Amino acid sequence: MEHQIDTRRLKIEVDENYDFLQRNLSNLIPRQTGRYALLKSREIVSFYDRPGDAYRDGLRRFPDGIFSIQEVTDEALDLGFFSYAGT
Amino acid sequence: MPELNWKSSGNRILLDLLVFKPGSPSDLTNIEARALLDTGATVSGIGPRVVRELGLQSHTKKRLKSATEERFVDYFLFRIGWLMNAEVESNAQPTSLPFIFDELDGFGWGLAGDFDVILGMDVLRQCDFELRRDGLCQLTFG
Repeated sequence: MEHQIDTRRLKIEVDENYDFLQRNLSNLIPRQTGRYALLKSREIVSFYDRPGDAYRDGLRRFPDGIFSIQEVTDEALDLGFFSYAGT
Repeated sequence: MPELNWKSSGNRILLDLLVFKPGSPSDLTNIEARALLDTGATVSGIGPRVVRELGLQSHTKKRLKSATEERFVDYFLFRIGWLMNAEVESNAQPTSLPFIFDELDGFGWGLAGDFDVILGMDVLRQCDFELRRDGLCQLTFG
């Protein structure tokens, strides 16, 4: 279950998978933009249209919870309220 | 279609809602939270109380580019919903089950504030939203 995840391992997994996806982003953008990639050990397992579907399949495939999900996008995030707070 | 009607005061649009854990659709574990409607935010987000009380883990990180800096933020999956009963004005049939959106992939922030959720354009673009000059707000969804 989610509450038993090794948070240190999960953070390392998320960081490594993020780097992997960024290095391959230019190849993925043309066909997968806006979709969600389920990643494990610096490999893409599959793509999904909705993040919840990626999450459920991740839990099914990897019961220890050590996986990551990244949206295929090169857009910068704008958080409105927070973006300009304190400027 | 379900709709929420409430009165907003001041210069912010705040709304009470429920935040649910991601994963199993039948898991209705939730907490009550106050949300800020933010049309300037491209995505929704949750504060530290929601993360802590629901025991959420981050499976995603993203690059945040703001006016002054660029950094990474942890993202969390969560669901939001409303109880469509007498506690909230609605034209929907009363029911004990809440209306729940699909999982959101939203950012987390670290400092507790007077709201726990930011509802960004990822949610608002699924709704009709009306704000009147007397402060009455209406959110129609579904």
